[in-house]
Amino acid sequence: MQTSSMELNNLKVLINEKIHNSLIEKYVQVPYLNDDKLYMLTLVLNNTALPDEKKKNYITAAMLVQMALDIHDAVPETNDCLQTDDEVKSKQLSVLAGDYYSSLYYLLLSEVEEVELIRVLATAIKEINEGKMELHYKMNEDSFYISMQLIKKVESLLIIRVAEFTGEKMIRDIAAEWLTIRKLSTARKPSDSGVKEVPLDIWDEHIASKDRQTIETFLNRELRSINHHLVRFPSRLAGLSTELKETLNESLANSRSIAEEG
Amino acid sequence: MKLTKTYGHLKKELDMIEYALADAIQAEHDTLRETSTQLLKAGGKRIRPVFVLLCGQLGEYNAERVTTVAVSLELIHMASLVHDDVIDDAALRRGEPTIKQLYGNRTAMYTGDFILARALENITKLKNPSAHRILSGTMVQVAKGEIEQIRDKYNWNQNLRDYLRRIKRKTALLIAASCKLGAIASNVDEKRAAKLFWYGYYIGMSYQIIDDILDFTASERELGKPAGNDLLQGNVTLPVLLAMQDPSFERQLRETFADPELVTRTSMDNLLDSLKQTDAIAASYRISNQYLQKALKQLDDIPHNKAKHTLQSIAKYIGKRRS
Repeated sequence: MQTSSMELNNLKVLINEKIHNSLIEKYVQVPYLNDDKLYMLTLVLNNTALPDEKKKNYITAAMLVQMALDIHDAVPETNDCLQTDDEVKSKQLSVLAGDYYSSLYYLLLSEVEEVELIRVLATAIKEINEGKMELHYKMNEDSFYISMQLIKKVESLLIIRVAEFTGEKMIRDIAAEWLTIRKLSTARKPSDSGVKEVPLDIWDEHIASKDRQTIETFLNRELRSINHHLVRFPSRLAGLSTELKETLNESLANSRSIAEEG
Repeated sequence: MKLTKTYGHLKKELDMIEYALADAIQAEHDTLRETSTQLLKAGGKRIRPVFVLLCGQLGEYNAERVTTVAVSLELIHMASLVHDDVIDDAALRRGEPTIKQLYGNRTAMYTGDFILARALENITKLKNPSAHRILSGTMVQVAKGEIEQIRDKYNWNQNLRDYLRRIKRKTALLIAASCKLGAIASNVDEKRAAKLFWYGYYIGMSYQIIDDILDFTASERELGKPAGNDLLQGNVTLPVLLAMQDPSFERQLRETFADPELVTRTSMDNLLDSLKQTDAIAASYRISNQYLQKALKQLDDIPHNKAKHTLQSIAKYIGKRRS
């Protein structure tokens, strides 16, 4: 099972073409098309026997939903921080961009008559928003561990639902841990431009105040959990298992070296 | 007479839709359930469900299918309202505090997304692919229209076509889709379903134009917001576009809004007085009426029955609406 960087780049081009809107791009830091989620989704679909066209449509639709959810998380809680006309426009267009991407996923799946997947994704969106509400109102009340479990669910549910819909089981079982480790190990690493990958995301709110030790402890727990699954991968997926371990080790090594330098 | 009187005989069906709406917004999270329920209780005319029902009654009426469509369209409308209040930073809607005002932007965003998800989840009970293509296409157009509205704010150089395209996307298309989907749910033949689409489209155009007129002519008490509020927000509507054909009004408008942050209530009141001195309001009503006549024309070939008469009554009511 191969997932080449060319395949991922082609998908990114396709998705970016779909969401292109000059006004949104002018005022909104276009939502980060989350590479890790795209990678996981692609792994899920590549581990099925579906025709390529279907795989492409499923990935595109799910990523449109993901971007809609992500950009709505970038809407500030209050308008107190909005000083300029551009900042107000940015907030307004963040709301509208999310609604626009939601309508695009529905349109795409309607055009290819995938009514059942429309339902599956809509149910996932419903559950994710229930989870986000829970997080929003429990902030600082629960332990770090409980918050992290909830974020894990919110962040991976869409991929898990697509995996269940397509009958894929192997990637489904490791998606949440893999995404979590990748996210936590890069959470405090500024991007090359020095800007966060999204204006604000659900992780940052919960981990910004946490010390490295707490995050490390949680990371190790996740690593144990994912390794438990990876060793059970069948031989046909041995290459993939190695690839997944390597990507995790790479991001963990990067994160630890940054922590040591810090 | 109130608009709701024109479709009073639909009470039983509308009650059924109300139950289905209440059921659809049941969330597990307490606050999410509260916010969704608050939106539902805020009411509204349920005009989209009414059009779904009436057009559904022109074919082989199937209560379950028609209710499914009506509920989803109303949920889509509700979701857009709660997000609109975040966009406009609105403290009040119909005189009541908004979700955003009571709970913050985040909760309003999650509530809107939750309700929209429920709308799509619900409509997938319908297995007709063309119904999904119509609704999804409409939703894309509506979203694009909302984005354009942001772009066009305080743009005094736009023309009538820009305005008409904007209200088409903002209002007319969802009403047109309500009519067509109601017809599809009842297996109304394609030709007639197309006529009903255009009926809804023209009604929607007329309705929005009158809404835009009332923003200048109704009282603050009737509107639940100050007169001229649309213009204050930078929305250039038909009465303004028509009034701008008078050079002195255009000059006053540009001077008043030289810096939108500095517009005073007095300068706004003076501007509204000047607008009313022009023929813009009467001319706007004339354009609205042209759309209404087109809407009524679409019903010519529909057999006479109670649903058709109600569709005609709604059109006539909208034409007479003055508050």
